[in-house]
Amino acid sequence: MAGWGLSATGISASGMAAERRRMEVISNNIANASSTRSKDGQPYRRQFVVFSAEQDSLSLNEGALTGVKVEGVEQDTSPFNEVHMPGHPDADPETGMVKMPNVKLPNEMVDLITASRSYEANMKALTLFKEMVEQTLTLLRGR
Amino acid sequence: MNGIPSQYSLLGNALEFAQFRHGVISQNIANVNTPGFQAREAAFQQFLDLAQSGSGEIHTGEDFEVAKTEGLTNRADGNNVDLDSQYGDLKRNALMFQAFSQLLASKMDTMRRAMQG
Repeated sequence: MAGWGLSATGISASGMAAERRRMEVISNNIANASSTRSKDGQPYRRQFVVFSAEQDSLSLNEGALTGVKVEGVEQDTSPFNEVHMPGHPDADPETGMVKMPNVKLPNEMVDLITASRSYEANMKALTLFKEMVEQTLTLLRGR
Repeated sequence: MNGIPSQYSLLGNALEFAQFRHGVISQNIANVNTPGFQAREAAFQQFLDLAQSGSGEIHTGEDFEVAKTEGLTNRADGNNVDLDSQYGDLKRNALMFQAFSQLLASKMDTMRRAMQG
């Protein structure tokens, strides 16, 4: 089976693992939507996962079915939101502005739904494959 | 080869092709959120030509070809996988697999009955 890469179960499993990772990262963003402190002294920065198809230089007919790979978790470099809260311990002493994380809840919720639906799609593909295998196994049973 | 044995191998090839196509479609679905990924499909015509060339024996795996699906529109991120059509293809492919499988089962049944007399 040269050039086949992963089996059908492996491909679907890689998709499910990737979507699950994405949901974890999104959950982390939501949980930290108002964390004004992190290790580097700045507010929390929104994170997102980067997927890659692991194709060999986008060329075809290596035909390699290698699933999807989580390339890494990157930080969103967009600017922080600023809120006027003079009493806040992290407020700027002159302006009274507090830097809040650049997490936008509606965007996170939409991403969460996308991830969950994609997970379901991979799950369906896996279920169908299972049914196909069962179909083959009934051949052995004899009728 | 003629008769029932050649039908066995033909149906076996068809089953293997359906399984391969399932893998290709699964790959598209797994990469539905990968920027720049282009949907692909297993080339059925090419499989058909091989099957009809009369040799009856297809050394699968190396022989199946994958091509980019034509005529799809790219999303903003350069990905052109349409989840609904992929899912439709997946279901249709599974039904084809089921049909081949049942044909094979009935062929075997015929053979079994002939042997039992």
